Amino acid sequence: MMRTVTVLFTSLILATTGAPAQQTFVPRPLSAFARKKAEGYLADRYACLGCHQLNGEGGRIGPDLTDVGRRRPPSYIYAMIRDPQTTRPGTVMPRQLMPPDRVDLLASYLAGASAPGSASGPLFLPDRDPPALTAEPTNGAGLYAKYCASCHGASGNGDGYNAEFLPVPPTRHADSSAMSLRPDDTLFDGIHAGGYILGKSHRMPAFGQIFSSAQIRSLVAHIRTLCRCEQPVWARR
Amino acid sequence: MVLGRKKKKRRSHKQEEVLAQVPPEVPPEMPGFRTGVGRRPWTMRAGFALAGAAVAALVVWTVSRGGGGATLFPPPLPLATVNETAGPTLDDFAGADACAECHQDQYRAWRGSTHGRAGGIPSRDNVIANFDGRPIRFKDAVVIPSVTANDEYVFTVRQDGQDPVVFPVAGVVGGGHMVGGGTQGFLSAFADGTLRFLPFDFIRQEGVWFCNTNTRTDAGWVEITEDMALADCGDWPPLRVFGTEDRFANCQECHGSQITIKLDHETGRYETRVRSLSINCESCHGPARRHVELAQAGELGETADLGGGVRALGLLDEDASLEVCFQCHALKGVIAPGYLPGKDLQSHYALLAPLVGDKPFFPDLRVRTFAYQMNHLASDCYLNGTLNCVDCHDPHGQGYRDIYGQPLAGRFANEQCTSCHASKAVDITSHTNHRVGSPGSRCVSCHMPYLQEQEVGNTLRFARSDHTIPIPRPAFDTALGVENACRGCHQNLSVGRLQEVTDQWYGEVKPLKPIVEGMVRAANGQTVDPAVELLYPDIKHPMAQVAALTILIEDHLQPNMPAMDPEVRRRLEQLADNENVDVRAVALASLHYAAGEDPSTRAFLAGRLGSLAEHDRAIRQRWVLTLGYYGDAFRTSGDQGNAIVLYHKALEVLPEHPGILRNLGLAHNAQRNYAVAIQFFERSLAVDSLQALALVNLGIALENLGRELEAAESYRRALQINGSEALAYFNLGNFHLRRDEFAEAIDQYRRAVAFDPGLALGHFYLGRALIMVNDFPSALTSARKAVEFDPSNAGAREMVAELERVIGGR
Repeated sequence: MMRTVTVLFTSLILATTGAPAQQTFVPRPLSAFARKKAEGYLADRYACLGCHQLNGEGGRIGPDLTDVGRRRPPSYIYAMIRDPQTTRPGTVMPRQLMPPDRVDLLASYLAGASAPGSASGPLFLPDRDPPALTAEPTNGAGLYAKYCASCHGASGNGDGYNAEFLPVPPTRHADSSAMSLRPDDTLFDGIHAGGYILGKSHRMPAFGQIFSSAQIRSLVAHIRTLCRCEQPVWARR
Repeated sequence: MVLGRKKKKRRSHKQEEVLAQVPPEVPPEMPGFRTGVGRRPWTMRAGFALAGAAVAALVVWTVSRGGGGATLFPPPLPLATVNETAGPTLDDFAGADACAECHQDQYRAWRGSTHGRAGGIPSRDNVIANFDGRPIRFKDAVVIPSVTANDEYVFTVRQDGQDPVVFPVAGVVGGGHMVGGGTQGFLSAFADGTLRFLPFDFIRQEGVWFCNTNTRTDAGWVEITEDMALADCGDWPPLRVFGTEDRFANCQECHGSQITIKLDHETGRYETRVRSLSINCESCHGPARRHVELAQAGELGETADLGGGVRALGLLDEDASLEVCFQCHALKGVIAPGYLPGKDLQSHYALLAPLVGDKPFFPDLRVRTFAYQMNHLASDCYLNGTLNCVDCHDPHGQGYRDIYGQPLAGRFANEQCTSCHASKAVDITSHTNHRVGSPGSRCVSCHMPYLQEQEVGNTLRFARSDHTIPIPRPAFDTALGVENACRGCHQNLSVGRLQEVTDQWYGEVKPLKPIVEGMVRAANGQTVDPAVELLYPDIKHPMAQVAALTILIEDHLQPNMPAMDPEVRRRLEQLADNENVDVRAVALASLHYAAGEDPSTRAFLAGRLGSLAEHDRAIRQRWVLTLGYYGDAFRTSGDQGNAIVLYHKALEVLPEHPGILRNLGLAHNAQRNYAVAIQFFERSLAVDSLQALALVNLGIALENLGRELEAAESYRRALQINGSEALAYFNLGNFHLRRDEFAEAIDQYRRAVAFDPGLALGHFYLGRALIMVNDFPSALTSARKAVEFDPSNAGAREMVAELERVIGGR
């Protein structure tokens, strides 16, 4: 049974990334410097702590990462970083593109962070309690409710339940004066590539790997209904 | 001094000052001879390059009082740790090969990169120029680049009537790597311990030898032809010294790694040390010797500190990451010498200081003269995003990559842009209006076009990609003087037509930032309200804020104005609290400049000076740099009164600053207040006794008071400090010439031109002294040299004609 699951698991990764076959993930031992570096990437570069906690800091959308190494096997952690949607269908966690060695670093850190020496455990099912798969929302309002409202608030007032755990307040999409200065393309780009590229909070993740262009456009259109505003005149053509 | 004025070869302004004050005595035998300098002054900022060392040597502080105000400015805080000796030394660096064992992938990528191949000892592997014995012909010289039987690369310079001179090539700089125009230069070792650039450069694309004529004929970089004189090349005789040395007002510390140059006052020679002529690992990561030792001892594992100052760079924030690259890819104003990677860059250089006065950028901060990539700071990608250099450029291999670190096909790959601007990639043609796959479909063709560096001229292609990442505006760009991006392909279309098409495609485009609009209007001579249009305290745009402040100072302020616009003052006070130290310092200097005697402004300035805390030194140095620059500008324009006012203001901020004291001496000397001038030179020397040129200037002031023996002693003291100081020899020659001690004068002049063969006045006066001992043939040789290096010297030309007539033109 274990063998079957391993093969299945690996093929899922291959199917979505085209990456070289990897039978399993074995965390590498990390130096103190490498651990510090991993913490830096998790907290200060990538969006991870927008949703997850690590050592008491971070959002409440996803599970706490502080002791994830006790709760999940290394290959699961690796796979979730590498391709969350395939590993755990239905999750709101979007895939964040990063170089392979960085996936390896973060997975090694998370797998071993709380249980050094016990990180390279066996593989088992990606999730023992698969979520009930519901139909993915197709319109902007539905997508917004599922993916955005937890931080930005259902009405775009920046008051989602997760907002208080973020170092930078989420953008208030209902703020017509601020939003009327932003072109639709800028909103598109921010959703696609995350807050980092706009000089906003890097804890706003990039959704470009899970949303189609049409979905992002529908989200932008929904945001325009929240602010009841249009983009600047110069951007309308 | 502006770091990074690559290939900009001008004589130190300090030398100009000394030369300008040479008593233009005319021997009665040859009436009509006149002295002439014939060179433009170097940027005046060079006068402050020793600021850091000077402060480090500060021994006395005296309270300075403003002319009419009662508020005393608080003194500087006790010195922090930054000085010439603080931080790493060359011995703390390990060299790239030491990194290879553990960091094999990065080393391999670097080895083949532009940085890894940036230069080296000449060999068949790195020399791209023709060293096959084919001559480079000038109208008055032939230069033969060749390889000797011992595989030594040499230039042999032959000029009529002179012995051939051979310059062995000690180092190669560049390999013609750059797509926009790549060059290769050559270094040779000189007797004074310096490494100097030779004037014969090679450019790969055109495949020709060229030289920079900007300081002579002002024709830019031009291919060497038989129509040119050798002295049309600004670097002939070689003057551009490798490494940052204040004496030469020349910064070349980025054409290699860990380059230091230091004058040994015992031997009178320079000690030049160069770790590598490539740009190595430690140029970015800092000194690694301790790190290597820890790694070799197996002691790295349990410490989060890499050891000895070396650092990982992947997690730096945007500005810190940019600063790594701006060590070299930026113009900079020197505020303290002795920088090495691992030291605090901002303690040694003011990154935005070159915006004060020199105008190297257009009002929209695109490159106007010659600059590097620091105007990325004016791009929307920086201002409205977080883009830094390594988001597109792989720092190890210098390949291209997207925002996620994924390698890209090359410099034209659209994903550099579309990994952020994904909206444009959805239907790229609808944005570009060009066929997919065509040059017009590349983001960089329109938004990062290769623009010729204008100071180079238009003869040879030396273009660099525009890192302000602008929107093409054909009419606006052309009116500004920038080649518009569309013309990169559509050279046959008029600007009007190009504008028409872009209007049709894009309609109204993103407006310029208001501060840029203000600067453009000012540059166009339109009336601007300086408070409203130039001063924006609340924006994030330090580069524009400093640029606008310089416009304010130059166009709208006067020293100690009777009344200052209250709104200007209010906004300047806001800018004086800006996060950026350059912006803060220039804003404070602006207030001090215009209203330093106004009691309330003075109280404000005193308050800010007293609360600078950890920025005390950085702000004061930049503040003094600004006031000193404008003081110099007044002084060189002949307005000694305002120069003196500004210098005294600068002394209020950094009392006993030797550079300011020295320039006060020059200003008073120009006013013929020689006794006062002497006092300031002596005060400057009391703070920093190792200023050979200050001693030369002191000597000139003493001479002006008729104290000739003391003057000669001052020149001799200068030579004790720097035994190769040509100007000290020159003025000693003058001393002896006036006393009819011709043999001694000849000896001193010969030393002067031996150490600075391009010193036209040295040749001229040597010729005059030789005439006095009836050595007409030698005098003719000297007179011809004087003309060669300063054709505008009518006296020298007349001397040549007269001597040719007397001795038959031999």
